[in-house]
Amino acid sequence: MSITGLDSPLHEVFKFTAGDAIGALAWSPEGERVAIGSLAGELIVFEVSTQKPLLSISEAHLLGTQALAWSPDGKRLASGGCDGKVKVWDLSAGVPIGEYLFKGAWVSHLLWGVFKKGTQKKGYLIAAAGKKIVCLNDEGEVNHLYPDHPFGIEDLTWRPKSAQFSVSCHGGVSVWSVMKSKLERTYEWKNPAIYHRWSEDGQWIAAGGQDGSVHIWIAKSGVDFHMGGYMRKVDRLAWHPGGRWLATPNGGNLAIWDCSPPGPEGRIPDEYAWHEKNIISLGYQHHGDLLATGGEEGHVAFWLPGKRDFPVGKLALQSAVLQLTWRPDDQAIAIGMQSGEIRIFDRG
Amino acid sequence: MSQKIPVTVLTGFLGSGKTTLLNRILTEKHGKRIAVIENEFGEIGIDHQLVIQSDEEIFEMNNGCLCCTVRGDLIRILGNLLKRRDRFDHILIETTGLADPGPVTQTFFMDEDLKDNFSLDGVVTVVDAKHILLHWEEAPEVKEQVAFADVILLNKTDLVPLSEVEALEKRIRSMNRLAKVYRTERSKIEMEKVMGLGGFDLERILEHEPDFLQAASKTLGENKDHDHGDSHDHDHDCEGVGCGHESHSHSHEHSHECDKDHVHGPDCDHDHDHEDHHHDESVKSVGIQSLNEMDGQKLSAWISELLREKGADIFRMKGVLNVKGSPNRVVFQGVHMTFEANSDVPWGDEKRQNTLVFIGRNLDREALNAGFKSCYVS
Repeated sequence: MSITGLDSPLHEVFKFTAGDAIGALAWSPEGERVAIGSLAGELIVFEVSTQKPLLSISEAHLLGTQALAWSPDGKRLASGGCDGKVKVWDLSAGVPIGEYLFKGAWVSHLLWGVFKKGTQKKGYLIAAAGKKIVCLNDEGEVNHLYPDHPFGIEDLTWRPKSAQFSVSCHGGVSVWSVMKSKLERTYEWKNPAIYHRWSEDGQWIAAGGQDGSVHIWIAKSGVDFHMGGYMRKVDRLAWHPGGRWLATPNGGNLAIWDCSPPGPEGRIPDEYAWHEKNIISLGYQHHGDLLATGGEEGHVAFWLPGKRDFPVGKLALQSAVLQLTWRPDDQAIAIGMQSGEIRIFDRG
Repeated sequence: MSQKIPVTVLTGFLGSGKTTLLNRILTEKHGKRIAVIENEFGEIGIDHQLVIQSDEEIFEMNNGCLCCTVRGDLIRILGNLLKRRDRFDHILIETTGLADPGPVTQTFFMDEDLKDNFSLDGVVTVVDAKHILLHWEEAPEVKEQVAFADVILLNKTDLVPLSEVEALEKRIRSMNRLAKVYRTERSKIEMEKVMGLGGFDLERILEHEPDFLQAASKTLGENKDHDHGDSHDHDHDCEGVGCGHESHSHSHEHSHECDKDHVHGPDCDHDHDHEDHHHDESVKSVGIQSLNEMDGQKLSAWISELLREKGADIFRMKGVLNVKGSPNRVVFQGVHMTFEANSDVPWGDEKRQNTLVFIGRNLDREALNAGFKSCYVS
């Protein structure tokens, strides 16, 4: 199977079916391996070129694996699941070397980064479950705990070009220091912010709302814009790497906001229709212009927002597309589905 | 489209026997794959049952001009369950003893994924017949739990003289005419009486309380000839992002009023009254029945305004309506400020009529009747 219409076609190079829907999907930093977490609780790591499983744990997390993060050197992998556990795996040994338990909450998000503390570089693994966030070290041991959030954590991501991460929940977005338990800044909004992403230059923060709206802040000044009228909650969004375009799903339509100066205020978004059902996953290339969207109906579309108002590539799959993630070099995309299938398409 | 997964909400004041009922449901051989969301720590369930612990995370949502409280934790947990390939047959949500059932039920109106994939099968409230009167006055949650119920288990009846049970049942029925009341000991009851109720069933009040609706119909004037003419459309055309509409299951009027003002503008800062726990209790049911044809637009406008003004006091609203132009029964369901209207099965040979019931606090029967009458086709 191939995806044509793109400047170079994508060919299917990998296919695997897990025991239940794909809860998390992550490329290793060098892009040669892919980690898969399923809601059946599996954790599987494949070397994509050989299709060889490097790690295969059938019950890594009881009730489901739904968060994954690679260590920046690619030697370790952290997994989190509905059992409240974070497990740190040493891939050469194939065993967990560390474990942290959140009592009574599902682990929903993991981030793993390296930051310079003094003269030394150290790894920091940030894990979120329920209202709690903890910072672990490379061994899965506690560095420090953060104060409980007033509401359940909806999303967690890095703040670009900083040693900070941001959290969204009901009430807006808060920014925290990685190295210590310090609140750096808050961006308030009175509704549940269920997803948020920074533009690559760190100038903008966009949050999708349970109430069917998108809220955008200018990071420095805190000035905010509100875009309402979505037909359903906005639980995904993606920035163009250049920071100009903000892609948001509006039910089955793709709504693109132009955030070039003076900002989206007063503008009408471009809206493209193609998916038959709701868009439930979307992802821009890390450095390119191509945007992929995945629908509940099992179709994937590739777009060049701002340049074309139709999909430049299409793919019909049989199950809801829960995960879409581009390889770090942008030359391949991994697709995770409700059926448990993983499909990888490569330009090579 | 796959069938909606039924959801049962289990409420009951502390010590009422709620957990005993939950354990019965989990251990009974009914062959159903049940996911239980409970408020206390639970280990993995029995056999095929999944038990998920959750702390009741209630937040207020400002959806345009419409405000209501919902359970954020349920949106996340049920959203995760929906992604799974192997779905559950039934969801059971246990609330804390002190919970107001409003937020949990409203959640199923306010989140699109939940609304599309789950149906509220029923609110089951377990009442401790021996101790409920001790809490009756000081804990408003007790009355709220009774008022919200589709099924009430009057439990521990073996610990109380029959005369007291009868008096209590009478009192409960005066508050909530919609619920089926069963007398139980140690929460013992057949599963089909608490689960798989099939959702909406107004006919059942006619079974056990025929006078309730008849009395209301007398105040509503004479019947009219039916006139099947213009069609009434419950859908509104949405102009896409920026149109300002909310999900159309909500109070229509609200969204239209906000409309363009919400596009790229500042947040809506209308005042909203969220007094949840008044203490001047007078919880009761008001039923309205008539044969008149209703004007769908007038009805939508009236209900929107009514819920905006009185939504905090109206716990639940249910109705089957005879809307002009619709060959089908139009089914209304509301919780506080949220409501949805759906086209149900065709009337067929059945007599076209309106049956509407409000359960709430400080309900003004005359005003409700007058408002309802104003929506007749003129």
